[in-house]
Amino acid sequence: MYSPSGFYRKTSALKVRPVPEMGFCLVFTPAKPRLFTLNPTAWLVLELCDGRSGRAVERSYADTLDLERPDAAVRAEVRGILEDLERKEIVERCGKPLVQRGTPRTEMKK
Amino acid sequence: MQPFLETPPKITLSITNTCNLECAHCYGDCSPTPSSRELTTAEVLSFIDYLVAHDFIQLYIEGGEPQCRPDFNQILEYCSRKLMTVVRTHGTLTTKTLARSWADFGVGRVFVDIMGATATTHDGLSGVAGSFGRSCEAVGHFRRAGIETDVAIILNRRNVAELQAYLELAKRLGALRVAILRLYPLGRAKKRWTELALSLEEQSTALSDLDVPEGIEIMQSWHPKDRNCCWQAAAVNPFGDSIGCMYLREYVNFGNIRSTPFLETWHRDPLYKSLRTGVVENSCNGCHARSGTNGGCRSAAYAFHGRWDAPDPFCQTMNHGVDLRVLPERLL
Repeated sequence: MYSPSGFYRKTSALKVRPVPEMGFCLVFTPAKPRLFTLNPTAWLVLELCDGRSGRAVERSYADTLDLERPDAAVRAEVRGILEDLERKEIVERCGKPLVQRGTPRTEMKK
Repeated sequence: MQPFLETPPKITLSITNTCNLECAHCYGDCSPTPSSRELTTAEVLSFIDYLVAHDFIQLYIEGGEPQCRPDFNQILEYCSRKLMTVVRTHGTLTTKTLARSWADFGVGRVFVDIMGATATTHDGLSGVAGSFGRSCEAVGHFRRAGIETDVAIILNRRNVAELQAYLELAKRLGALRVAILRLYPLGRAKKRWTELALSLEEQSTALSDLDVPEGIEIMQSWHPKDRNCCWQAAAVNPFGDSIGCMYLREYVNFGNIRSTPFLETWHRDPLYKSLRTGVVENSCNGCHARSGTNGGCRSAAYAFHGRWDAPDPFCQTMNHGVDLRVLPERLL
């Protein structure tokens, strides 16, 4: 179950293999050996899971879309993706924030 | 045109040409005696290190029969947590203990070759009595060990009549997917082509007549799913030759990994690069729309037409009157 105040990170030993030529990303979860193909949206959300909160992921995701703040559609999309990534054991919750909230827009656009 | 991928994310390693069966349609023309030319344990482990270092993410291992290599478990244990590892086996050497070991190693998926829906058909094709029962048992061993397991059948004249029964067998065994594969004119299948090959119409009818049981997924590559997979093709045979795809095994050699790093064969060989561009004479719109690639399988196209950019005759819209039961003389 998604939590805006929960903190998300990639699971340990996760292997991420971008295939930018084809516009997707492959992800291998060694602990429960499966290979997944992520579309660009899910790939972006995964990259944002560096210990920040679900709400911060929503903000950063909206930022990449040049939105002032996450609207209902963005929140629903991020929520669905994070739930899916967590179910597949691609991301997991961590106990405390590993990055500061309010990451500057310029940094996120890199 | 440039190849689609800068570097490949997935690769196939045919790890041995040794096998304890004597299949009538064996593409590798395998033998029960190992060849001294095959990659050694140290060479295989070193190649796995190379793959990991160069950002590969999946390793598909086939044979021969991989379990005929005495070092196979050592190799699996070494690679399975580093790369998504998929193994193709006929399973006749698989025990409950071995399946559990593979699960512990982290093997991601297994394909078990079962060649028909009955012992008569399977054992007739494999040349070894009792192999059907052992292959079926292997599916159960892998499933109970928690490994996702599929079954694979190469469609030919001896098993075509029992394809529906095969799907039902797969469901009973607990397989998740059924791979229905074409017969390619390679190895012993080429020598016995007249006896084994079906017309395209016979193949199409067999597929269209299927009533797929709930919970079973079919994998097949006939129209409208006739892909040209060469854009991502990466494979190495038991002797270390880079050959693009196992279905190209008799037609190409892009270099040997003992003397040339794999990615040098990928980047430098002109034919390899050309095959990966997807440039072909013509292609089927239906297959392109479904699979996003042009012209169908390059191995089949080359086998029947002798040109790398020819149409694949296994697709109805690109067949153009080719009788798939008759091989071109140059192949014989």
